[in-house]
Amino acid sequence: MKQIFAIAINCLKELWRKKDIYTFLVLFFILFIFLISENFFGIRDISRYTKDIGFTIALLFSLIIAVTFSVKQIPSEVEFKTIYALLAKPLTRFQLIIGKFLGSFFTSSSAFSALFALFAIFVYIKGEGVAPILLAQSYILGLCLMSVLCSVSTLLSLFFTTSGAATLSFIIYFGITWFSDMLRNTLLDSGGITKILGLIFYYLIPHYEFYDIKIRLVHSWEPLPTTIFLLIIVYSLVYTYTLLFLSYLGIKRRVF
Amino acid sequence: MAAIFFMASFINNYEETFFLAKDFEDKGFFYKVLGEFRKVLSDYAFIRADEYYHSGLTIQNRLNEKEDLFHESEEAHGESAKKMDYAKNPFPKGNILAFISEEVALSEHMHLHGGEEKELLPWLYYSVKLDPNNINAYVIGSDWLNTRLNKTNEAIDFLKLGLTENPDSWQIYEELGRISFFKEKNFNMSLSYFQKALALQNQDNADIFERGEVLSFVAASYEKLGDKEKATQYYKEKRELFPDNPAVQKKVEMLEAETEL
Repeated sequence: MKQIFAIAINCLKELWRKKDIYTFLVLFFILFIFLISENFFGIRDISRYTKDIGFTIALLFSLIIAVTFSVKQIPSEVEFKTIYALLAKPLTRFQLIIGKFLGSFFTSSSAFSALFALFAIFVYIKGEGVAPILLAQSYILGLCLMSVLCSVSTLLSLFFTTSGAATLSFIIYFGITWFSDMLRNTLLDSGGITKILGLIFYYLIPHYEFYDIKIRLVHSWEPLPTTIFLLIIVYSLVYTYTLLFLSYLGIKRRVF
Repeated sequence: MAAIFFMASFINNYEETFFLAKDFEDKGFFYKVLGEFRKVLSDYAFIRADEYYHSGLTIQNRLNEKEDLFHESEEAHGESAKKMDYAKNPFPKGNILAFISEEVALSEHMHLHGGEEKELLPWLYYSVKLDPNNINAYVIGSDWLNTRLNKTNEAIDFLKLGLTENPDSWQIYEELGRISFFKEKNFNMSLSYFQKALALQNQDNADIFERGEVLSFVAASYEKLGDKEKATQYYKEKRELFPDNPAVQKKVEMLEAETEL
Protein backbone atom coordinates (compact mmCIF):
# COMPACT_ATOMS: atom_id res chain seq x y z
CA MET A 1 0.00 0.00 0.00
CA LYS A 2 2.85 2.32 0.93
CA GLN A 3 4.50 1.76 -2.47
CA ILE A 4 1.23 2.42 -4.31
CA PHE A 5 0.74 5.75 -2.58
CA ALA A 6 4.39 6.68 -3.11
CA ILE A 7 3.86 6.32 -6.88
CA ALA A 8 0.54 8.18 -6.73
CA ILE A 9 1.89 11.10 -4.71
CA ASN A 10 4.81 11.38 -7.11
CA CYS A 11 2.37 11.86 -10.02
CA LEU A 12 0.44 14.47 -8.07
CA LYS A 13 3.62 16.43 -7.36
CA GLU A 14 4.40 16.32 -11.09
CA LEU A 15 1.14 18.15 -11.88
CA TRP A 16 1.83 21.03 -9.55
CA ARG A 17 5.51 21.11 -10.51
CA LYS A 18 4.82 21.26 -14.23
CA LYS A 19 2.42 24.18 -13.74
CA ASP A 20 -0.11 23.02 -16.37
CA ILE A 21 -2.83 23.41 -13.80
CA TYR A 22 -1.93 27.06 -13.14
CA THR A 23 -2.47 27.86 -16.80
CA PHE A 24 -5.89 26.23 -16.72
CA LEU A 25 -6.82 28.00 -13.47
CA VAL A 26 -5.77 31.41 -14.81
CA LEU A 27 -7.61 30.81 -18.10
CA PHE A 28 -10.69 29.69 -16.17
CA PHE A 29 -10.54 32.75 -13.92
CA ILE A 30 -10.20 35.14 -16.88
CA LEU A 31 -13.08 33.41 -18.66
CA PHE A 32 -15.34 33.78 -15.62
CA ILE A 33 -14.44 37.44 -15.17
CA PHE A 34 -15.27 37.98 -18.85
CA LEU A 35 -18.57 36.09 -18.50
CA ILE A 36 -19.83 37.84 -15.40
CA SER A 37 -18.82 41.27 -16.66
CA GLU A 38 -20.90 40.94 -19.84
CA ASN A 39 -23.94 43.21 -20.01
CA PHE A 40 -26.93 41.94 -21.92
CA PHE A 41 -29.37 44.73 -22.77
CA GLY A 42 -29.00 46.23 -19.32
CA ILE A 43 -30.76 43.28 -17.68
CA ARG A 44 -29.31 42.22 -14.33
CA ASP A 45 -28.88 38.77 -12.77
CA ILE A 46 -28.61 36.71 -15.91
CA SER A 47 -26.62 33.76 -14.66
CA ARG A 48 -27.47 30.43 -16.26
CA TYR A 49 -25.06 30.88 -19.13
CA THR A 50 -22.20 31.40 -16.65
CA LYS A 51 -23.08 28.12 -14.92
CA ASP A 52 -23.36 26.40 -18.27
CA ILE A 53 -20.12 27.62 -19.81
CA GLY A 54 -18.24 27.54 -16.49
CA PHE A 55 -19.10 23.93 -15.69
CA THR A 56 -18.41 22.82 -19.27
CA ILE A 57 -14.97 24.43 -19.21
CA ALA A 58 -14.16 23.04 -15.74
CA LEU A 59 -14.99 19.53 -16.97
CA LEU A 60 -13.16 20.03 -20.25
CA PHE A 61 -9.93 21.22 -18.59
CA SER A 62 -10.10 18.36 -16.06
CA LEU A 63 -10.75 15.92 -18.91
CA ILE A 64 -7.66 17.16 -20.75
CA ILE A 65 -5.54 16.79 -17.61
CA ALA A 66 -6.97 13.32 -16.81
CA VAL A 67 -6.38 11.92 -20.29
CA THR A 68 -3.00 13.49 -21.00
CA PHE A 69 -1.61 12.49 -17.59
CA SER A 70 -2.99 8.94 -17.63
CA VAL A 71 -1.81 7.99 -21.11
CA LYS A 72 1.82 8.88 -20.46
CA GLN A 73 2.26 7.32 -17.01
CA ILE A 74 3.37 3.81 -17.97
CA PRO A 75 4.73 4.50 -21.50
CA SER A 76 7.08 7.19 -20.12
CA GLU A 77 8.40 4.75 -17.49
CA VAL A 78 9.08 2.28 -20.31
CA GLU A 79 10.61 4.91 -22.59
CA PHE A 80 13.07 6.19 -19.96
CA LYS A 81 13.73 2.63 -18.70
CA THR A 82 12.73 3.66 -15.18
CA ILE A 83 10.23 0.80 -15.18
CA TYR A 84 13.13 -1.59 -14.44
CA ALA A 85 13.94 0.33 -11.29
CA LEU A 86 10.30 0.26 -10.28
CA LEU A 87 9.83 -3.44 -10.92
CA ALA A 88 13.06 -4.24 -9.08
CA LYS A 89 11.41 -2.92 -5.93
CA PRO A 90 9.04 -5.08 -3.88
CA LEU A 91 6.16 -4.02 -6.10
CA THR A 92 3.83 -6.26 -8.09
CA ARG A 93 2.71 -5.26 -11.56
CA PHE A 94 -0.86 -4.88 -10.27
CA GLN A 95 0.38 -2.48 -7.60
CA LEU A 96 2.21 -0.57 -10.32
CA ILE A 97 -1.01 -0.22 -12.33
CA ILE A 98 -2.98 0.82 -9.25
CA GLY A 99 -0.29 3.30 -8.23
CA LYS A 100 -0.14 4.87 -11.67
CA PHE A 101 -3.94 5.00 -11.86
CA LEU A 102 -4.22 6.60 -8.42
CA GLY A 103 -1.59 9.12 -9.42
CA SER A 104 -3.59 10.10 -12.51
CA PHE A 105 -6.81 10.07 -10.52
CA PHE A 106 -5.45 12.28 -7.72
CA THR A 107 -3.95 14.60 -10.31
CA SER A 108 -7.12 15.05 -12.36
CA SER A 109 -9.30 15.15 -9.24
CA SER A 110 -7.21 17.87 -7.64
CA ALA A 111 -7.38 19.86 -10.88
CA PHE A 112 -11.14 19.29 -11.06
CA SER A 113 -11.55 20.23 -7.38
CA ALA A 114 -9.65 23.48 -7.85
CA LEU A 115 -11.65 24.40 -10.96
CA PHE A 116 -14.92 23.32 -9.35
CA ALA A 117 -14.20 25.41 -6.24
CA LEU A 118 -13.63 28.45 -8.44
CA PHE A 119 -16.83 27.64 -10.35
CA ALA A 120 -18.84 27.29 -7.12
CA ILE A 121 -17.54 30.62 -5.79
CA PHE A 122 -18.53 32.43 -8.98
CA VAL A 123 -21.93 30.74 -9.09
CA TYR A 124 -22.72 31.89 -5.56
CA ILE A 125 -21.47 35.41 -6.24
CA LYS A 126 -23.52 35.83 -9.40
CA GLY A 127 -27.17 35.13 -10.02
CA GLU A 128 -29.59 32.57 -8.71
CA GLY A 129 -27.07 30.10 -7.23
CA VAL A 130 -27.46 26.32 -7.06
CA ALA A 131 -28.98 23.95 -4.51
CA PRO A 132 -26.06 22.63 -2.37
CA ILE A 133 -27.13 18.99 -2.90
CA LEU A 134 -27.02 19.44 -6.66
CA LEU A 135 -23.61 21.04 -6.40
CA ALA A 136 -22.39 18.15 -4.21
CA GLN A 137 -23.80 15.58 -6.65
CA SER A 138 -22.14 17.20 -9.65
CA TYR A 139 -18.82 17.34 -7.78
CA ILE A 140 -18.91 13.68 -6.74
CA LEU A 141 -20.01 12.59 -10.21
CA GLY A 142 -17.15 14.68 -11.62
CA LEU A 143 -14.72 12.68 -9.46
CA CYS A 144 -16.33 9.43 -10.65
CA LEU A 145 -15.88 10.62 -14.23
CA MET A 146 -12.19 11.28 -13.58
CA SER A 147 -11.85 7.76 -12.19
CA VAL A 148 -13.40 6.10 -15.27
CA LEU A 149 -11.49 8.40 -17.66
CA CYS A 150 -8.15 7.62 -16.01
CA SER A 151 -8.78 3.87 -16.06
CA VAL A 152 -9.83 3.92 -19.75
CA SER A 153 -6.79 6.02 -20.69
CA THR A 154 -4.43 3.81 -18.65
CA LEU A 155 -5.71 0.69 -20.42
CA LEU A 156 -5.45 2.29 -23.87
CA SER A 157 -1.91 3.53 -23.16
CA LEU A 158 -0.75 -0.09 -22.86
CA PHE A 159 -1.79 -0.95 -26.42
CA PHE A 160 -1.37 2.30 -28.36
CA THR A 161 1.17 5.07 -28.63
CA THR A 162 0.74 7.96 -26.18
CA SER A 163 -0.83 10.28 -28.75
CA GLY A 164 -2.96 7.45 -30.18
CA ALA A 165 -4.27 6.52 -26.74
CA ALA A 166 -5.05 10.15 -25.92
CA THR A 167 -6.87 10.67 -29.21
CA LEU A 168 -8.86 7.48 -28.78
CA SER A 169 -9.77 8.46 -25.22
CA PHE A 170 -11.11 11.80 -26.39
CA ILE A 171 -13.01 10.18 -29.28
CA ILE A 172 -14.62 7.66 -26.93
CA TYR A 173 -15.54 10.38 -24.44
CA PHE A 174 -17.10 12.78 -26.94
CA GLY A 175 -18.65 10.00 -29.01
CA ILE A 176 -20.45 8.56 -25.99
CA THR A 177 -21.54 11.86 -24.48
CA TRP A 178 -22.88 13.12 -27.83
CA PHE A 179 -24.47 9.95 -29.14
CA SER A 180 -25.55 8.12 -25.97
CA ASP A 181 -29.25 8.98 -26.46
CA MET A 182 -29.20 7.71 -30.02
CA LEU A 183 -27.37 4.56 -28.95
CA ARG A 184 -29.84 3.83 -26.17
CA ASN A 185 -32.87 4.42 -28.38
CA THR A 186 -31.42 2.27 -31.18
CA LEU A 187 -30.79 -0.51 -28.71
CA LEU A 188 -34.29 -0.34 -27.25
CA ASP A 189 -35.88 -0.36 -30.71
CA SER A 190 -33.79 -3.20 -32.12
CA GLY A 191 -34.43 -6.93 -32.00
CA GLY A 192 -32.81 -10.30 -32.70
CA ILE A 193 -29.08 -10.58 -33.20
CA THR A 194 -28.71 -6.80 -33.51
CA LYS A 195 -30.12 -6.43 -30.02
CA ILE A 196 -27.76 -9.04 -28.58
CA LEU A 197 -24.70 -7.46 -30.21
CA GLY A 198 -25.96 -4.03 -29.26
CA LEU A 199 -26.36 -5.11 -25.63
CA ILE A 200 -22.82 -6.50 -25.50
CA PHE A 201 -21.49 -3.25 -26.94
CA TYR A 202 -23.67 -1.21 -24.59
CA TYR A 203 -22.32 -3.02 -21.53
CA LEU A 204 -18.71 -2.72 -22.67
CA ILE A 205 -18.53 1.01 -23.33
CA PRO A 206 -17.91 3.49 -20.52
CA HIS A 207 -21.15 5.36 -19.89
CA TYR A 208 -19.82 8.88 -19.63
CA GLU A 209 -23.34 10.27 -20.04
CA PHE A 210 -24.14 9.18 -16.46
CA TYR A 211 -21.91 11.92 -15.11
CA ASP A 212 -23.38 14.75 -17.12
CA ILE A 213 -25.91 16.48 -14.89
CA LYS A 214 -25.02 19.92 -16.19
CA ILE A 215 -28.57 20.59 -17.39
CA ARG A 216 -29.92 19.91 -13.89
CA LEU A 217 -27.26 22.22 -12.48
CA VAL A 218 -27.84 25.02 -14.98
CA HIS A 219 -31.63 24.99 -14.95
CA SER A 220 -31.92 24.21 -11.22
CA TRP A 221 -33.76 20.95 -11.73
CA GLU A 222 -34.23 18.48 -8.92
CA PRO A 223 -31.16 16.50 -7.84
CA LEU A 224 -30.71 12.92 -9.03
CA PRO A 225 -32.65 10.34 -6.99
CA THR A 226 -30.38 8.88 -4.29
CA THR A 227 -30.68 5.31 -5.63
CA ILE A 228 -29.59 6.38 -9.11
CA PHE A 229 -26.78 8.49 -7.68
CA LEU A 230 -25.48 5.54 -5.64
CA LEU A 231 -25.86 3.18 -8.61
CA ILE A 232 -23.65 5.49 -10.70
CA ILE A 233 -20.99 5.51 -7.98
CA VAL A 234 -21.07 1.70 -7.78
CA TYR A 235 -20.91 1.48 -11.58
CA SER A 236 -17.86 3.77 -11.60
CA LEU A 237 -16.05 1.68 -8.99
CA VAL A 238 -16.81 -1.61 -10.74
CA TYR A 239 -15.92 -0.28 -14.19
CA THR A 240 -12.68 1.30 -12.95
CA TYR A 241 -11.59 -1.84 -11.12
CA THR A 242 -12.41 -4.04 -14.15
CA LEU A 243 -10.35 -1.87 -16.49
CA LEU A 244 -7.43 -1.76 -14.06
CA PHE A 245 -7.52 -5.53 -13.80
CA LEU A 246 -7.53 -5.75 -17.62
CA SER A 247 -4.56 -3.36 -17.66
CA TYR A 248 -2.78 -5.65 -15.21
CA LEU A 249 -3.48 -8.64 -17.48
CA GLY A 250 -2.10 -6.55 -20.36
CA ILE A 251 1.31 -6.12 -18.71
CA LYS A 252 1.35 -9.27 -16.59
CA ARG A 253 3.59 -11.22 -18.94
CA ARG A 254 4.97 -8.35 -20.99
CA VAL A 255 8.73 -8.10 -21.33
CA PHE A 256 9.75 -4.45 -21.26
CA MET B 1 2.89 14.81 -48.81
CA ALA B 2 -0.05 14.64 -51.23
CA ALA B 3 -2.25 16.32 -48.65
CA ILE B 4 0.30 19.11 -48.14
CA PHE B 5 0.59 19.54 -51.91
CA PHE B 6 -3.15 20.02 -52.33
CA MET B 7 -3.48 22.02 -49.11
CA ALA B 8 -0.97 24.57 -50.38
CA SER B 9 -3.23 25.76 -53.17
CA PHE B 10 -6.19 25.68 -50.82
CA ILE B 11 -4.39 27.81 -48.22
CA ASN B 12 -3.20 30.22 -50.89
CA ASN B 13 -6.74 30.59 -52.19
CA TYR B 14 -8.05 30.99 -48.65
CA GLU B 15 -5.47 33.63 -47.85
CA GLU B 16 -6.34 35.65 -50.93
CA THR B 17 -10.05 35.54 -50.34
CA PHE B 18 -10.00 35.85 -46.57
CA PHE B 19 -7.01 37.63 -45.08
CA LEU B 20 -6.28 39.84 -48.07
CA ALA B 21 -9.90 40.87 -48.61
CA LYS B 22 -10.31 44.64 -48.81
CA ASP B 23 -12.50 44.99 -45.76
CA PHE B 24 -10.68 42.46 -43.55
CA GLU B 25 -9.39 45.14 -41.18
CA ASP B 26 -12.95 46.33 -40.53
CA LYS B 27 -14.22 42.88 -39.64
CA GLY B 28 -14.91 41.93 -36.05
CA PHE B 29 -12.85 39.78 -33.69
CA PHE B 30 -14.83 36.59 -34.30
CA TYR B 31 -14.54 36.95 -38.09
CA LYS B 32 -10.78 37.33 -37.88
CA VAL B 33 -10.33 34.42 -35.51
CA LEU B 34 -12.95 31.94 -36.66
CA GLY B 35 -13.63 32.81 -40.29
CA GLU B 36 -16.76 31.17 -41.65
CA PHE B 37 -16.84 28.70 -38.74
CA ARG B 38 -18.33 31.48 -36.62
CA LYS B 39 -21.62 30.88 -38.51
CA VAL B 40 -21.78 27.34 -37.19
CA LEU B 41 -21.15 28.58 -33.66
CA SER B 42 -23.73 31.32 -34.16
CA ASP B 43 -26.36 28.75 -35.14
CA TYR B 44 -25.31 26.62 -32.16
CA ALA B 45 -25.82 29.60 -29.82
CA PHE B 46 -29.26 30.14 -31.38
CA ILE B 47 -30.16 26.48 -30.75
CA ARG B 48 -28.95 26.81 -27.15
CA ALA B 49 -31.35 29.72 -26.67
CA ASP B 50 -34.18 27.47 -27.84
CA GLU B 51 -33.06 24.72 -25.45
CA TYR B 52 -32.92 27.19 -22.58
CA TYR B 53 -36.52 28.19 -23.21
CA HIS B 54 -37.46 24.52 -22.83
CA SER B 55 -35.32 24.29 -19.65
CA GLY B 56 -32.60 22.28 -21.28
CA LEU B 57 -34.62 19.86 -23.43
CA THR B 58 -33.19 19.47 -26.90
CA ILE B 59 -35.31 19.31 -30.04
CA GLN B 60 -34.71 15.55 -30.10
CA ASN B 61 -35.95 15.24 -26.51
CA ARG B 62 -39.06 17.16 -27.44
CA LEU B 63 -39.69 15.04 -30.51
CA ASN B 64 -39.83 12.08 -28.16
CA GLU B 65 -42.66 13.65 -26.23
CA LYS B 66 -46.14 12.25 -26.31
CA GLU B 67 -47.33 15.37 -28.01
CA ASP B 68 -45.81 16.07 -31.40
CA LEU B 69 -43.47 19.06 -31.33
CA PHE B 70 -45.19 20.62 -34.29
CA HIS B 71 -48.58 20.37 -32.64
CA GLU B 72 -47.66 21.81 -29.29
CA SER B 73 -50.61 23.72 -27.99
CA GLU B 74 -50.58 27.47 -27.66
CA GLU B 75 -51.28 27.00 -23.98
CA ALA B 76 -48.10 24.98 -23.59
CA HIS B 77 -46.10 27.85 -25.03
CA GLY B 78 -47.97 30.46 -23.04
CA GLU B 79 -46.90 32.72 -20.25
CA SER B 80 -47.37 30.28 -17.44
CA ALA B 81 -45.02 27.50 -16.57
CA LYS B 82 -46.33 24.20 -17.79
CA LYS B 83 -44.97 20.90 -16.74
CA MET B 84 -45.75 18.48 -19.51
CA ASP B 85 -45.42 14.74 -19.55
CA TYR B 86 -42.21 13.72 -21.11
CA ALA B 87 -42.51 10.34 -22.75
CA LYS B 88 -39.67 8.22 -21.54
CA ASN B 89 -38.82 5.13 -23.47
CA PRO B 90 -40.51 2.02 -22.14
CA PHE B 91 -38.62 0.67 -19.12
CA PRO B 92 -35.74 -1.35 -20.51
CA LYS B 93 -36.29 -4.61 -18.64
CA GLY B 94 -33.12 -6.15 -17.29
CA ASN B 95 -30.92 -3.44 -18.77
CA ILE B 96 -29.73 -1.62 -15.68
CA LEU B 97 -27.42 0.71 -17.63
CA ALA B 98 -30.17 1.86 -19.99
CA PHE B 99 -32.37 2.36 -16.93
CA ILE B 100 -29.77 4.62 -15.24
CA SER B 101 -29.27 6.48 -18.51
CA GLU B 102 -33.03 7.10 -18.74
CA GLU B 103 -33.20 8.29 -15.15
CA VAL B 104 -30.26 10.68 -15.54
CA ALA B 105 -31.95 12.28 -18.55
CA LEU B 106 -34.48 14.99 -17.83
CA SER B 107 -38.03 13.91 -17.16
CA GLU B 108 -40.10 17.05 -17.32
CA HIS B 109 -40.68 19.66 -19.97
CA MET B 110 -40.96 23.12 -18.48
CA HIS B 111 -40.83 26.54 -20.10
CA LEU B 112 -39.06 29.60 -18.79
CA HIS B 113 -41.56 31.98 -17.24
CA GLY B 114 -42.00 34.97 -14.96
CA GLY B 115 -38.94 36.89 -16.17
CA GLU B 116 -36.75 33.80 -16.43
CA GLU B 117 -36.82 34.36 -20.20
CA LYS B 118 -33.91 36.74 -19.70
CA GLU B 119 -31.70 33.66 -19.35
CA LEU B 120 -31.84 32.93 -23.07
CA LEU B 121 -30.73 36.42 -24.09
CA PRO B 122 -26.95 35.78 -23.73
CA TRP B 123 -27.14 33.05 -26.37
CA LEU B 124 -28.99 35.30 -28.81
CA TYR B 125 -26.53 38.09 -28.05
CA TYR B 126 -23.55 35.80 -28.74
CA SER B 127 -25.33 34.46 -31.80
CA VAL B 128 -25.31 37.91 -33.45
CA LYS B 129 -21.84 38.70 -32.13
CA LEU B 130 -20.56 35.58 -33.86
CA ASP B 131 -22.52 36.16 -37.03
CA PRO B 132 -23.93 39.67 -37.49
CA ASN B 133 -25.95 38.32 -40.43
CA ASN B 134 -27.97 35.91 -38.27
CA ILE B 135 -31.29 37.68 -38.84
CA ASN B 136 -33.36 35.16 -36.88
CA ALA B 137 -31.36 35.94 -33.74
CA TYR B 138 -32.14 39.68 -34.03
CA VAL B 139 -35.84 39.05 -34.67
CA ILE B 140 -36.32 36.42 -31.94
CA GLY B 141 -34.14 38.33 -29.45
CA SER B 142 -36.06 41.55 -29.91
CA ASP B 143 -39.37 39.69 -29.62
CA TRP B 144 -38.36 38.29 -26.22
CA LEU B 145 -37.10 41.68 -25.09
CA ASN B 146 -40.25 43.45 -26.19
CA THR B 147 -43.08 41.04 -25.43
CA ARG B 148 -41.86 39.08 -22.39
CA LEU B 149 -39.37 41.37 -20.70
CA ASN B 150 -41.00 44.70 -21.50
CA LYS B 151 -37.75 46.17 -22.79
CA THR B 152 -39.11 47.89 -25.90
CA ASN B 153 -36.29 50.42 -26.30
CA GLU B 154 -33.66 47.68 -26.01
CA ALA B 155 -35.59 45.59 -28.56
CA ILE B 156 -35.65 48.49 -31.01
CA ASP B 157 -31.93 49.16 -30.47
CA PHE B 158 -31.18 45.48 -31.08
CA LEU B 159 -33.16 45.52 -34.32
CA LYS B 160 -31.52 48.74 -35.46
CA LEU B 161 -28.13 47.17 -34.80
CA GLY B 162 -29.32 44.32 -37.02
CA LEU B 163 -30.29 46.80 -39.72
CA THR B 164 -26.83 48.36 -39.79
CA GLU B 165 -25.43 44.89 -40.54
CA ASN B 166 -28.31 43.75 -42.76
CA PRO B 167 -29.85 46.80 -44.44
CA ASP B 168 -31.83 44.62 -46.86
CA SER B 169 -33.52 42.45 -44.27
CA TRP B 170 -37.31 42.68 -44.62
CA GLN B 171 -37.69 40.53 -41.49
CA ILE B 172 -36.06 43.18 -39.30
CA TYR B 173 -38.20 45.93 -40.84
CA GLU B 174 -41.29 43.83 -40.23
CA GLU B 175 -40.33 43.31 -36.58
CA LEU B 176 -39.73 47.04 -36.13
CA GLY B 177 -43.15 47.60 -37.69
CA ARG B 178 -44.75 45.16 -35.28
CA ILE B 179 -43.28 46.97 -32.28
CA SER B 180 -44.52 50.34 -33.62
CA PHE B 181 -47.93 48.85 -34.38
CA PHE B 182 -48.66 46.81 -31.28
CA LYS B 183 -46.57 48.40 -28.57
CA GLU B 184 -46.12 52.03 -29.49
CA LYS B 185 -49.37 52.39 -31.46
CA ASN B 186 -47.46 54.66 -33.83
CA PHE B 187 -49.20 53.69 -37.08
CA ASN B 188 -47.37 56.19 -39.30
CA MET B 189 -44.10 54.65 -38.18
CA SER B 190 -45.37 51.08 -38.49
CA LEU B 191 -46.66 51.83 -42.00
CA SER B 192 -43.27 53.10 -43.08
CA TYR B 193 -41.52 49.98 -41.67
CA PHE B 194 -44.04 47.56 -43.20
CA GLN B 195 -43.85 49.25 -46.60
CA LYS B 196 -40.07 49.04 -46.49
CA ALA B 197 -40.37 45.33 -45.63
CA LEU B 198 -42.80 44.82 -48.50
CA ALA B 199 -40.46 46.58 -50.93
CA LEU B 200 -37.55 44.38 -49.86
CA GLN B 201 -39.49 41.13 -50.25
CA ASN B 202 -39.11 39.16 -53.43
CA GLN B 203 -39.68 35.60 -54.66
CA ASP B 204 -36.28 34.45 -53.44
CA ASN B 205 -36.35 35.73 -49.87
CA ALA B 206 -40.02 35.38 -48.89
CA ASP B 207 -42.82 32.91 -49.51
CA ILE B 208 -46.45 33.88 -50.12
CA PHE B 209 -47.38 33.44 -46.45
CA GLU B 210 -44.67 35.89 -45.39
CA ARG B 211 -45.72 38.33 -48.10
CA GLY B 212 -49.35 37.91 -47.11
CA GLU B 213 -48.50 38.70 -43.49
CA VAL B 214 -46.69 41.93 -44.37
CA LEU B 215 -49.53 42.92 -46.73
CA SER B 216 -51.97 42.47 -43.85
CA PHE B 217 -49.86 44.70 -41.63
CA VAL B 218 -49.62 47.41 -44.30
CA ALA B 219 -53.38 47.26 -44.76
CA ALA B 220 -54.02 47.28 -41.02
CA SER B 221 -51.73 50.30 -40.56
CA TYR B 222 -53.67 52.21 -43.28
CA GLU B 223 -56.90 51.16 -41.62
CA LYS B 224 -55.74 52.49 -38.27
CA LEU B 225 -54.76 55.76 -39.95
CA GLY B 226 -58.25 56.01 -41.44
CA ASP B 227 -57.23 55.50 -45.07
CA LYS B 228 -59.75 52.77 -45.91
CA GLU B 229 -59.19 52.94 -49.68
CA LYS B 230 -55.52 52.18 -49.35
CA ALA B 231 -56.28 49.48 -46.79
CA THR B 232 -58.72 47.85 -49.22
CA GLN B 233 -56.12 48.00 -51.97
CA TYR B 234 -53.61 46.02 -49.89
CA TYR B 235 -56.18 43.51 -48.66
CA LYS B 236 -57.11 42.96 -52.31
CA GLU B 237 -53.48 42.33 -53.08
CA LYS B 238 -53.47 39.73 -50.34
CA ARG B 239 -56.66 38.23 -51.76
CA GLU B 240 -54.84 37.64 -55.03
CA LEU B 241 -52.33 35.53 -53.12
CA PHE B 242 -55.02 33.65 -51.19
CA PRO B 243 -58.16 33.65 -53.36
CA ASP B 244 -59.81 30.91 -51.24
CA ASN B 245 -59.30 32.62 -47.90
CA PRO B 246 -62.77 33.65 -46.64
CA ALA B 247 -61.38 35.94 -43.90
CA VAL B 248 -59.54 38.13 -46.44
CA GLN B 249 -62.60 38.19 -48.73
CA LYS B 250 -64.79 39.22 -45.82
CA LYS B 251 -62.36 41.98 -44.79
CA VAL B 252 -62.31 43.37 -48.35
CA GLU B 253 -66.11 43.36 -48.53
CA MET B 254 -66.42 45.02 -45.15
CA LEU B 255 -63.97 47.81 -46.03
CA GLU B 256 -65.60 48.36 -49.42
CA ALA B 257 -68.99 48.71 -47.75
CA GLU B 258 -67.57 51.22 -45.25
CA THR B 259 -65.90 53.21 -48.07
CA GLU B 260 -69.21 53.42 -50.00
CA LEU B 261 -70.97 54.76 -46.93
